[in-house]
Amino acid sequence: MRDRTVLLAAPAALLVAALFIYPFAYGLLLSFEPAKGDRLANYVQFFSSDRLWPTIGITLKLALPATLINVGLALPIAYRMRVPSRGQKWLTTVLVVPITLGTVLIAEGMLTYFGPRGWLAQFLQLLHLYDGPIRLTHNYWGVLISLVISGFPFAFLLILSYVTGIDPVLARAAATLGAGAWAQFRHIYFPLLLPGLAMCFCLAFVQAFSVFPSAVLVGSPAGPTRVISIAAYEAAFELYDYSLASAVAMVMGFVQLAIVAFVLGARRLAYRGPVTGGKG
Amino acid sequence: MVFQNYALFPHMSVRANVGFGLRMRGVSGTQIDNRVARALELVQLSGHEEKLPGQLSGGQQQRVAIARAIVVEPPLVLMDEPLSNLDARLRLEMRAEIRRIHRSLGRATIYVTHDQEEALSMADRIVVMKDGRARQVGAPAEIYAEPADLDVARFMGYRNELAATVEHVQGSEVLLSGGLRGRAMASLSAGERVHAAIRPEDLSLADGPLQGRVDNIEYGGRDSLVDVVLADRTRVHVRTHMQTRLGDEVRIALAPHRLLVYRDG
Repeated sequence: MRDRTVLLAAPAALLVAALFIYPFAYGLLLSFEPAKGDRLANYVQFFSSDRLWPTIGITLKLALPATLINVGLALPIAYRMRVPSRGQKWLTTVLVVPITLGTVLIAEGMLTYFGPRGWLAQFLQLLHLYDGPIRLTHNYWGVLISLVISGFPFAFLLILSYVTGIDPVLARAAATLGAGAWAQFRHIYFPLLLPGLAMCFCLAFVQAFSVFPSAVLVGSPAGPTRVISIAAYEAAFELYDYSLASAVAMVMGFVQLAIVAFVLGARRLAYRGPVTGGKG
Repeated sequence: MVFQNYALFPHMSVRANVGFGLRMRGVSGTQIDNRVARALELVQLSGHEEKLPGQLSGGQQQRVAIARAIVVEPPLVLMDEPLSNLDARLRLEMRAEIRRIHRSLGRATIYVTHDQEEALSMADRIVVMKDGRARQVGAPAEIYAEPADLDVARFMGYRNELAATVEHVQGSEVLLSGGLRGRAMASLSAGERVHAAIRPEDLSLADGPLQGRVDNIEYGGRDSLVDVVLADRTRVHVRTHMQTRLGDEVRIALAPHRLLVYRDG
């Protein structure tokens, strides 16, 4: 007899279908029903329009560096904080606070701080460190900084949980065998962290790739930071072409999927077993 | 150093685990291979080189840990309760195995354990520690027969303790209140409060100075461990072949000269 306990998963599966698969399928079908032209017209338009297809590159140029910075910055800090120390709670709090701030709030703060007459500029001028103009808002750098501020806490928390999950006795064992601090990280922690880092990269990347508010507020949405979500927004709410907007969203999803699939594929090459050294 | 939970690197093969210390010391590749092969031969794990630790049994993992510790030829090997995670049968096997490895290496090994049987069977010299201080240093037979103080005696399996007062001292022989006869482990004088310790094996259910009621019986195959509660509520453990039942009133005899008498405190 077949195992009928599988049916117990049905309610959850239905919920997923209703909340995720249905809207996705709806959008997918909608993208193949353009206002005019044949079924693929939206996609043809996307890849032939100078206003649309470069948004992929623009978004990647923001999302990839932002993700690399976030993961690359979070890793050493989380690694340093793997052993409990004094003041650690405060440092964690300070590092994580930005996760509670909305992107809009961060953008406003950035305009005050990084703007041409912002605190940073005034401070540097006061100390005669730099007198030239400071252009860190309303351009590429503004959006990148905003993505780092909002994305870092997330990457940090995730990596911290991976790091603290690794049995510290492994590093001690390595130390008794003559491994210095760097060798312990390189040969023990890093290989064991790789799968987690890949996961963190994927999540942080997906988050950064769908950047929207900060690209408008602290970027220059008409040109250098006209990211793909802006293109989708314009299609939907300025041109009222939902079909085209769906096509843009599908392309966006596909690019994210491709990067994630690539990283997770590479993750398979790393060791992914338990991260303890024997019976506990 | 051999750790209690092995601390093998889970992402490295057995070969890489054992060779790790040599790699850290900058030993050349071919030399590493040779020395790793020899170490694995010594712990009888040749043929498992490419496996990950997770694919090995507990005993095999512990042998990898030993190979990893000795391959760098340390002047001193430290083993921190290496057998405490293994089941009873494997523990016995590994005990003999570690003795064998130790002999063929000819290197000093410090072996930490809480198991008196393990300590007695494996050591050439035992240091009994309590509260961070060495209480007694000596050969196993010495410590087994003549524990220096009550704590050492407890660790060496003197599970029974009787409080008494000294009535008469004659050389090393002491006569205690309640008709007990013991061996003085310190210089004692009449009237002193003392504690006397004796092993369950050195007691028997026969006509003797102690009397009590059977409170618990642990069946152990060849013999049983019988708990007897005395009139003053002291609990005494007796190892015996005799059949008893819960609630039986029994008398207990003590093997002569096996009752060790220590000063209180």
